[in-house]
Amino acid sequence: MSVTPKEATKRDLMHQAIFQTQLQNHGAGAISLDRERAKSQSDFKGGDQKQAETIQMARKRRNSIASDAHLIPDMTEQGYKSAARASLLRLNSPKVQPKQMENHSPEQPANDSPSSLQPPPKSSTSVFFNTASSLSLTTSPKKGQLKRKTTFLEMFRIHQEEAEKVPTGFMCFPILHPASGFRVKWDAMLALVLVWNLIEIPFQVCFNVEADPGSGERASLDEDEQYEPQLIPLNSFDFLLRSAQLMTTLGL
Amino acid sequence: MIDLFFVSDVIVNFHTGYVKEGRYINEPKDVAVKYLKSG
Repeated sequence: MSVTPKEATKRDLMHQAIFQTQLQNHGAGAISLDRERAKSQSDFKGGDQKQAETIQMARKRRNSIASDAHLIPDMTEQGYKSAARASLLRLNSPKVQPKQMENHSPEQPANDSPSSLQPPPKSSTSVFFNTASSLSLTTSPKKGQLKRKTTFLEMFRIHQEEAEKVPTGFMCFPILHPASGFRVKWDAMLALVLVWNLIEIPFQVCFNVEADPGSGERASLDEDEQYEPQLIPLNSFDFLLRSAQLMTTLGL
Repeated sequence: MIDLFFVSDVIVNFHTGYVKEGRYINEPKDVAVKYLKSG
């Protein structure tokens, strides 16, 4: 199916109108990445040439992996412990400035060099590194903005660091964190005690043997005395006494 | 001896915080209520 030049011009004008409307209302980040539409938009050379180039660079920046590197918090690069320590220092310092990270904006030039990994300057859309509660990345509730939540494991480890540093409690006992070192060792010890009970109690019930060796020996001797017939005299005096009784009975 | 361990475990549980909706709770009253409710 052939397309006449008139129809092509009409289609280009329509794409241009849609493109301009999207750009004005939502910015470059809201433009669809559909291949055909993106190609038609990148082929667009009419109108404002500088604006089209800016949009192309913004789209390239959005698609590149390196451009999102500044969204990764410090904890993944420095380790959880040092990140939590740094966050506590930032929290306790008088100059508390939340780490701000910028969303992509069409005005920002595209740069895929390593210097682009640094957090860009402040803009209207920012992502805060919330150090006070859960060290999670939160955003304002506006639609279409970036949102990243920390995983449960990250939160768990960070809380563990905080709990070990700031013990609170009553009756001279600190409130332990469920993942603290003492709590983990305590649970492991109780697990061993339970395993010992699992073995010891059925053994004791079946064989009537106590765990204490002395008490077990006594128990076994008591049973032997109860069920064994007394065919042999217990000592030499009884032996002599019974022998004398037998001799008198027989008249010897 | 073993009973002593389990009694101590009850005390330790009363002094162990918990995580609720992503927040670490270490208030003694909340911890006690949570432990009693969890059974």
